[in-house]
Amino acid sequence: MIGSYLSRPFDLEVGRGFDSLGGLMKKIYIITFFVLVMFFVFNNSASAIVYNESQISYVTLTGGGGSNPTQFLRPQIEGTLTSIKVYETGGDSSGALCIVQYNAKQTIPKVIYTGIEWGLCTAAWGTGQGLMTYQGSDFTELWYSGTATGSIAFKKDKFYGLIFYQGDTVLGSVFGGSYPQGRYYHRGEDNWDNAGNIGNVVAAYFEMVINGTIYNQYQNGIPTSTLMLPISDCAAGATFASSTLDMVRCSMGNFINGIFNNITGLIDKIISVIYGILRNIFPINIFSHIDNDFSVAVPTSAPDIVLSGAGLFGNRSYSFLASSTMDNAAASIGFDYKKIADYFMYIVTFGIMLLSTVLIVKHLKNDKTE
Amino acid sequence: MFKTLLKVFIIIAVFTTISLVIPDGITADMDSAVQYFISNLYVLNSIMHVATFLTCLQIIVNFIFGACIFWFFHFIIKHTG
Repeated sequence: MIGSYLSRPFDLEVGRGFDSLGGLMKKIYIITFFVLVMFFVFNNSASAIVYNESQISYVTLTGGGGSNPTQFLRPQIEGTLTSIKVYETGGDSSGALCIVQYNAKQTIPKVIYTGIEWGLCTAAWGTGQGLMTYQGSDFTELWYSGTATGSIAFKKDKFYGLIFYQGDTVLGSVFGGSYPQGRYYHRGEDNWDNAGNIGNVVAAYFEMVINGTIYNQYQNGIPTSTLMLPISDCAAGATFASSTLDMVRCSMGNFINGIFNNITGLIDKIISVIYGILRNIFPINIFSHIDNDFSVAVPTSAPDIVLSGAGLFGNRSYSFLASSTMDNAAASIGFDYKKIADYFMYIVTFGIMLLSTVLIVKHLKNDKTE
Repeated sequence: MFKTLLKVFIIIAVFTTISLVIPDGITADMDSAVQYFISNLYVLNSIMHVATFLTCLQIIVNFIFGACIFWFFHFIIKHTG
């Protein structure tokens, strides 16, 4: 039967299972389709406070005068992020610790992306030390305590500038001030910007709480790449080759916990669990890597394409797609061609989705009348 | 009803077995290659917002996979009288 169906995928005359469903069941069936598909589409941006792994790319620990940053790898787990704490002590001169959210979704317009784009850095100059946490239901409150002298935070498109906190008291803020020392991310540009000389970080502690479980990483001395392992007994990410049964157990556990812990997020939990189970059980789970791949991929420092070669082009080198020329030209005439291209890409994307949806619904209606 | 559930469970079992049999190394290599490719797409950033392009691509891919999963269920229900 399967073989015959696959060989005739659009043959609508086989089977009567769908036809035998009642009218209400058919409606539920089609609505379920839309819920599932839409959740797949907006899974990573469905809620402002439900974070998943793709929204926390990495934590970067800088030190040693702007040397190569060390990355705390993000925990490979999905869930609700309720707390972030960063603790670091400055060395002989200064230290900087940044949490940076970066992924390919950064440029999604607000109308689509409802999540929070955030990043924070601490900077302890002199011999300071500091503890920085994000609190509040939507992580809009930045709390800072300790002896560190400055911090920088940015959220969404707004640069918050220097903010000085002591406990729950705002000591002062300098909005729009000069960039402090530290390594931070320039929004709108796909590269790291190293502002100023960065000193040595003596020690750092990073902690985040996801689904009530604490994931932490302690770093002492010279930064080295360290994997942050989740301490939960929940299967991490449940990739294609991991234990599916574990994933089901874990998801169901999360589901049950979700009922008791988060009534308001119940619907979201249910959909998340269903999505998680489907993604990891069914053959489609081989594609669950897609989200991970997109989120892990970060801009490389690769140069523009350079055409060169012995005997080619008269032994000259040609730099292709030089970055500044077109940008400057666009800026000089006030025409942001990249933004226009963005709109075009989104229109095409949703056009494809719309047409596909129409096609599927049409097919379903044909099924009903067969 | 029982027949439908039985089919669903059989298919789950088959793909679960496959997922356990395929070694991690293969999918890890695939991921690595894909990530490498995606990362290097950023060289095009001087002429377009690569992040936007990748976002659009991801939305479409997720949409298609979502539709595939739905169709998978549809297939089972449709062929279970």
